[in-house]
Amino acid sequence: MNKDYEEKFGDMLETMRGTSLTNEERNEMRSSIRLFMSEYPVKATFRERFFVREYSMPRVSFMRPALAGFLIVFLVGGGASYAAADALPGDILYTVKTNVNEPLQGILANSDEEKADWNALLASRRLEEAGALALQGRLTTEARAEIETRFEELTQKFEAATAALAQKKDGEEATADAQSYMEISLKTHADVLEELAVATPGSEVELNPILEKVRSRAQTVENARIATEEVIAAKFGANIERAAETKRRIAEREVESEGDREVATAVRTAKLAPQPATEAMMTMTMSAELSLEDAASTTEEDTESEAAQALREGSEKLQEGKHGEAFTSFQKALRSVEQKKLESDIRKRLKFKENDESDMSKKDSSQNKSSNENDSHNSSGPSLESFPTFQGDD
Amino acid sequence: MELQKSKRALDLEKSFLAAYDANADALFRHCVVRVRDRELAKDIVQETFTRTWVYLADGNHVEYPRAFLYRTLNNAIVDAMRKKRSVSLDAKFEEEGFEIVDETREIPLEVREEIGEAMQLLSSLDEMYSTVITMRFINELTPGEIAKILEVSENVVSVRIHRAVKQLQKLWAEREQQSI
Repeated sequence: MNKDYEEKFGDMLETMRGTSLTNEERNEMRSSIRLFMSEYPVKATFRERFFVREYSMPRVSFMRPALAGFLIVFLVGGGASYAAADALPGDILYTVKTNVNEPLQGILANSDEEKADWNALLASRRLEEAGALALQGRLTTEARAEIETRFEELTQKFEAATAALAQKKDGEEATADAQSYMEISLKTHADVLEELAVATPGSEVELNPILEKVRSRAQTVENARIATEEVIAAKFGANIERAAETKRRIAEREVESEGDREVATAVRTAKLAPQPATEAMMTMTMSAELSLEDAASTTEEDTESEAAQALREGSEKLQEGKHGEAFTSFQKALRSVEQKKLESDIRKRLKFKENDESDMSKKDSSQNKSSNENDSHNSSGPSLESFPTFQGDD
Repeated sequence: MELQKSKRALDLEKSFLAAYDANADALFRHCVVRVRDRELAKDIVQETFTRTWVYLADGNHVEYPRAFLYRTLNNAIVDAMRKKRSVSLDAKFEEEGFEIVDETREIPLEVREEIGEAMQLLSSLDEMYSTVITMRFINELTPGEIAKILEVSENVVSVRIHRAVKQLQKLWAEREQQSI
């Protein structure tokens, strides 16, 4: 073999074998991937979705210490802390929940990002507790005052955590994420509480002051988020480009699945629309087919929504090289999608559904339960009993 | 924002990040030889990991993570090269020089040029041959590992490597003759 050939290829192979990412490049890529992972979480299996309790597990980073803490409390308190998980203001175990369980988990939130997330979650819990009490007719002045005080404390802690996060190098993106979540959480809770105030006239007097505080806080967080996004919008360079690309992928996927969900909901709604039992079968079939088509086409038009528009704007900005602005547009698209999901989750947890779809599904569920208990089309119904034959991804 | 995670999700995240730590450099090395552009290679490797994560997060099972990552990388390279087809790689190479090795490594200009020539020759091989040469001699994968990645038998891999080396020698000889 030609010696020159051997030498040159030998050199090339040796050089290439020594080629790798620099530490900085490796860490930066790892961070981007972790960000992507956090925004594209592992899909829950059927069992996890329906049999694992909400909020039963704390975040990753405080998993082990929290478990240890939980065991201590469990052993000492004879299971009181576990039983306290669903306690509401006015219940004996509420003190255990807020003074033992939550602080135990909370002190283990180490980073500013985790602290922001944790306090946002707790603030959201307090508002759900207000909703639950209102629904049960137990929202007293004392309970309201307790919720208000705790809510104020938590939002202040949240603001402190995001302020600290924003000071960190390239911490603006994580800050905007946390603020975005808090903003939609507060706005969504405000919307639900407002409906509750109407639905439960006895609680209106106590709900209104809470509502006022939530709206005011939502505005503060929104202003802060806008300020953070202005900083991000002015950013240039490889980091923000990668962050924008990551956001784009997440937003595209979320907007796409939102479209799928909406079409599915519309189709389900059309299927669930009550039909007069005495009508001729042909008429029923035709009208059902028509309403299915209508539902699907209407939803198709509706998917040109705020989220889709923001996504398109973001993609355009990305092509123009305005990565910071693209990031904020993708964030807007995500907010829009997440807000809808959040509202649905809150209503489910409160078992409070005022929209037409759920009314229909309730009717359908009650109408069909005895005659057709295994019909999986009842899956939009409000309770787990509606999913007996669901073949999930378990 | 994910506020609760199952043990399965936590385990998956942990093993995925471990796979990143174990394979990122090797995948990058493989990619940078194929695309000859350090920045583009970084983007492609990141895309590889995000695509893999989506696949796993959606509940799919991967038996051989390393092989799966390489396959995903190869697909991502093909996608990226389609996008960049309008730009001639050789033209880009001549304009920008040898931009594969990071700037912190001190490699004399002469050596860089020679390596560049060798790289150019390598990429002028049929794609299946340049792929096996890169995997075998740069990433130092065994024929068995390459077989899993390419989803062919180990025997086929050995034959490809042999033929690739022959073709490389032939191209080199032709090039030498032309330069005389």
